[in-house]
Amino acid sequence: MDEIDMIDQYIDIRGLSFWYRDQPQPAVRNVDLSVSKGEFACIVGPSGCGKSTLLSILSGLFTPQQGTVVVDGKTQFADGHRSDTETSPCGYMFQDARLLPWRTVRQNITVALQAAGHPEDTWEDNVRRHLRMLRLEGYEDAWPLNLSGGQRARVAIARALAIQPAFILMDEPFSTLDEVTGRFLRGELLELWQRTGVTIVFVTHSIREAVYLADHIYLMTAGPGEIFARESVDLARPRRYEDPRLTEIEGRLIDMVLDRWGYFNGGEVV
Amino acid sequence: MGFLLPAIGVALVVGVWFLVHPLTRFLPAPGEVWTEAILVLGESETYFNILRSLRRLIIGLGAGYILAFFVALAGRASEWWRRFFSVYVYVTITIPSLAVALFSLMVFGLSEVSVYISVATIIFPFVVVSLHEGFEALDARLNDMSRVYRLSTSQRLRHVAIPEMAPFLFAALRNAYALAWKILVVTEVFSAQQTGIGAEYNRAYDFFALDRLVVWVVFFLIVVFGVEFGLFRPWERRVFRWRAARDG
Repeated sequence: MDEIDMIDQYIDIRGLSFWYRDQPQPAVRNVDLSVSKGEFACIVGPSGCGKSTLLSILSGLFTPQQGTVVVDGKTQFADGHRSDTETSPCGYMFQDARLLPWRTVRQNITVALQAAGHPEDTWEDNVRRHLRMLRLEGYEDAWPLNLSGGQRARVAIARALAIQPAFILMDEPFSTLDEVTGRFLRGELLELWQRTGVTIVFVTHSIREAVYLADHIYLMTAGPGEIFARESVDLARPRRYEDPRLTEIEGRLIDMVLDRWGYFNGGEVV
Repeated sequence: MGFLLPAIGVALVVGVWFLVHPLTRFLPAPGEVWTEAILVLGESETYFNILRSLRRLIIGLGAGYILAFFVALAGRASEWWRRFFSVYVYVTITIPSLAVALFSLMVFGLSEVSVYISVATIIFPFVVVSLHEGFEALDARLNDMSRVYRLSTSQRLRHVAIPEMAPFLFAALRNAYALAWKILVVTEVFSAQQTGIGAEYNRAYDFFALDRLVVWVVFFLIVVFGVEFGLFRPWERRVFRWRAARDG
């Protein structure tokens, strides 16, 4: 496990625990997590380990009962309390694109822009810029139901980027897409991430996906989730799925999680 | 086309009517009804009565619908309110429309208010039930999205909740509209004012003027379908254009 750099942490989580109401066990327990600015961080854990709970806390949906969350030097949560300081909004990509089907592509983005307090005269330019970035020019007035799954995911990325978020949270956003579309979008996402320098926290259960995407991978135990390892992936981008070094890291990580995820008999992982 | 089958249906009824009417003493010939219709169309009272009925319908329907909306909303907000109002829903859904009409006429007498109240009372429970289902059907996932992106309350209403509820809002409106007409004319029959379409039915009955009754039934159908095709259908098409887009 690497030494975690204590200086200049952009997202800093210490000793965080969260219980759902009426549950005897916490969903996540004593989580420490540090992400630097501009980092592509992947959190990997088996299903039900509390990955999504962690994202819900980071996005401000849930207030943790214990621990502190600091983003960009501003405390968001401290020991069960939500701080009053004005926090910047985050972008969020859900497992599905989660667009408003009764609003056009443009309106889906402008609703988020309005909520994030962007002045109205900047919307048009902002929407155009981000749709061009995601190669969706000409789809401004399209209904989400008329788009393919991949296009909808790209609109969701555009929406997340357009609000100029403090960071973007992604909750297995490509898991419902077919393999080729998923691969293609991962490549596009990395390109956008490099261009914009935005900080991304990406949650997945797929070690291969994490190794392909991340600077650092945070491994979680089976629920109640704890982060038990931070692994760096020092491979230059663009990476290739077929790269043997990638496979090697993947193999090493799988060995690390096997008993942590409860596969004592060499069950299937990935 | 969509109009062919209904047209055949109407032609069948008129055909049977044409063949059967000479066998009875009371059925007027189609031609007589037609003459009567022209006559009725020439009377200025006709338009007054139609407009009076329409006005009562809009006010009664609007009041009942808005009241039901807030009751359903309160029931959504708290279990206590839901249980508090449920007795009103059960009672108004159960009592006969005729009793409601007579009751409000006796209590509120001559005034227009009695008609509004009987219409509002009859539609109220059906709208509450159907909007309650709509609130239940709201998607928690879209709610999460609105919270993550920090949509304001008015944005959430305008962009999320109301469009999401639209199928239920429309279903409730249509059912309430159809029901409102039925109770309205019943109330008008018994109302002391003797204005509106229901009062025309009553006059036709008093004179045993079956031709006049048929004419007024046809006028009634034209008004009801006019609103359906002239207002509800285009409105619905516009609101749900994001859905139709998939096929076209």
